[in-house]
Amino acid sequence: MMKRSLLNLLLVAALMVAALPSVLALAQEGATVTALVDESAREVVDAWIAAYSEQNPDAVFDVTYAPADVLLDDLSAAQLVITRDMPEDLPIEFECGQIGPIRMLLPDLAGRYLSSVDCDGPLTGPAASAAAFLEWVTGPDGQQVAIDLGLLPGEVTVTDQAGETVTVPQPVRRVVSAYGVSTYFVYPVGGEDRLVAATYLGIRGDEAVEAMTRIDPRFPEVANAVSTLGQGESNLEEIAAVQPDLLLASRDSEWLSAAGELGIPVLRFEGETPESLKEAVRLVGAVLGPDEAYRAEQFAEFYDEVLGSIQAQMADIENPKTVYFSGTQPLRVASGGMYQTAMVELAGGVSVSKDVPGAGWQDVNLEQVYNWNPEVIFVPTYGRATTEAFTDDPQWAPVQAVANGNVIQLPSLTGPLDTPAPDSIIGIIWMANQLYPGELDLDCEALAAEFYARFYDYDLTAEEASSLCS
Amino acid sequence: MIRTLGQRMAVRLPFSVQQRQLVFYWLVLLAPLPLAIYAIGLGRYEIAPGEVIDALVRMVVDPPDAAAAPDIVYNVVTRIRLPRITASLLIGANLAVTGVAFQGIFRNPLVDSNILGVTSGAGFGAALMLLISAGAGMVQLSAFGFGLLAVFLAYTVSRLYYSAPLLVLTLVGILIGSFFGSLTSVLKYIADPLDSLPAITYWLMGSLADVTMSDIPLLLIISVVGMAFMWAVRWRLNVLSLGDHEAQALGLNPTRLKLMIILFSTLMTSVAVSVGGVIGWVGLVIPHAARTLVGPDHQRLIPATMALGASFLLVIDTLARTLWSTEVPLGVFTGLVGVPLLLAILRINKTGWK
Repeated sequence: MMKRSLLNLLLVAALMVAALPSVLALAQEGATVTALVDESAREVVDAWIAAYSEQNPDAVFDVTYAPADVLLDDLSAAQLVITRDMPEDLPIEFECGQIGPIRMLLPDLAGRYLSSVDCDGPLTGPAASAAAFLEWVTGPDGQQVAIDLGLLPGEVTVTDQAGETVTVPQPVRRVVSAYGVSTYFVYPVGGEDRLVAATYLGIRGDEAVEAMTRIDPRFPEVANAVSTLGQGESNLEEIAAVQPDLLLASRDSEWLSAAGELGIPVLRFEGETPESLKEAVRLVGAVLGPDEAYRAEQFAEFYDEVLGSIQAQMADIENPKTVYFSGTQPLRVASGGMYQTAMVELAGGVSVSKDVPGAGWQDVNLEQVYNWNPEVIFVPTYGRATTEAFTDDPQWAPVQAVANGNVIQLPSLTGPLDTPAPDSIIGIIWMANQLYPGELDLDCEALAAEFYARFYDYDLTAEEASSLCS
Repeated sequence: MIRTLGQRMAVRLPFSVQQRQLVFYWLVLLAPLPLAIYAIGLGRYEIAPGEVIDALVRMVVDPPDAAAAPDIVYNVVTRIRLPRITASLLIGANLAVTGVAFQGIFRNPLVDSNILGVTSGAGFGAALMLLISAGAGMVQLSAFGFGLLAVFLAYTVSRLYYSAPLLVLTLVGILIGSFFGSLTSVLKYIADPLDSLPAITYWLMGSLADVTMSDIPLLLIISVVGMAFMWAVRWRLNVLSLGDHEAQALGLNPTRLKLMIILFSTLMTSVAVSVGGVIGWVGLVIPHAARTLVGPDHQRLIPATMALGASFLLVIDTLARTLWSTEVPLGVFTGLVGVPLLLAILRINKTGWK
């Protein structure tokens, strides 16, 4: 009896060992993606899967088409859901799993991946394949399939921030950004993979370069693709050589009239207000595709939610703090037309220089500063600006901010946080917390982590979050 | 009958030209003092006249301990306004008197001390340091050094040519100035538009907003020595403006004298520019204004130009620091005031260049 059962056991073990390689092989192939698809989208999804499988022969899809009303009834086996009305909260809960963000495959068709096994960490198996598929569908190749079926327009016409009507043929595969701020409009909408050459505002020093490379591993390649690229001057022939479908530029760039001769659509931006920042991100989203347009709205919502929260809480603050936002020298101040001044006001401060005319930094004298007597001085992270320039100078000692130790330099992860780029919202959150420490319900680290996760696809380390918020 | 303004003035005033010029001479000479006293009471930070006087008296009689609690009124008067007023007087006098000296030795009413490239050189020196974000001390030192270098280059290069030394010197000076101007353009082109570019642009338009007590000693020493020199050679300038042959006939060594005047003028302009940035027009307009008021004789013209230049820049700088909450670059103001002034002078000028 004993012998027999032992023999059985050995037999079972031998069978298992023999079966192992085939099980492993199955896992390596990426496994079959179980997909639930709204039957009204059958044609386009079939076309996507066919085109995707041609490029990725390993991908295997097991698609169940169902009417929309019963589609979401049982999600337990699915790794991919594609439907017209994607609810924010899917009717399923995992003990330990992930539900991906909503991706807009068409203006009226959304998809998201599900994983019941990957707790945090990277996706594995069929869920990873599902995520890669969604990424491909929202990318230029997937857009091309939808354009061929007449579901996406062959060209998109927008009015840019210089008031020009610009027609951009779809899909946009290669983007060049010749304006240090507009490059950052591409990231929140998820279009960074399409950047082929770009200039990045204010990324100076090894730490900033390393941080930006962590956020986007392609950063060094993209930043160096064209030798001269910027607001003031760009090498047009080198731009032409990287064959862009779209050029993002500053409204103030004078070389753009020559760029128009290349026949590349140009979007011009000007940003010194929160509204123009949101509009700029929406513009980039609109010309890149439905998913990008959706993400631009998400960004605008996040931005407005944070500002609304600060504004609501400011109702309880009796004496708003007066703020002097200094430039690269102590006696240089942000004028009323500058984004820095708007940021101070949005963060619940009162800018002492909000009535100073002009659109750039303005020089003032110490007597004027004594008159203003600001309670807080903010110092930017560029140039030779330091807090010591204020604290070590006896002439500044009588100013409230200096006397009370409220001269504070902005934090920085990559570029400066006081430019009209999307991450300026972190700058505003930081400012509000510096102005009213402990008085606001505004968790800087959590919001910064959420911002980078949602709009830069990047998980901030605890260290980065705390340095951004200190 | 159409009469010029000068003729009408002459009709109205019952004095001879000489008497009138003597009156103007003393008025101009005495003007800086009351103007300075008035200016020290003006500023964005309001202080009653009594408190201003009190602060000035305390500074002389009983200076408060530096470690003591800061007293804003005292600081504003003695550490902000006083250095700035002092600097504007000295720089205005420097730029104006070097202008009149250069007009004398070059025998040309269109030149000022920048004709040999000192300002362009100093501008490049300052821009270089601003580009690499060096401290204020380095900016001043570099401006001063490159100002001297530009003139040294102009002078030595011009010695390589043998014809018409004055003409060659003028020409080479203009060329060297243009060369440094181009270098500055290169620096502006590569400068960071967020940081160093506005700093360079602002510096090139001139400002006394950053002047502190520590800037005063060198400026004061060079200005006093330079002005004393100009005072000492004022009658020789009369001779020089007759031409080299006449000067030699009268026992002067015109080449050595011109070199000395260029040397002192360059030092004075360099130190002025290193403290205040590029402040245009003073060296050109003020000598003409002074000549109109007191006549072309350098005996009076030199002191009058110093005093008038000092008063002019003091008034301009006081406007720049009090009119608006932001500083207006001095170069802008001197141009806006200087050009109409020069046009008016050309209209009424009876005794200057013909």
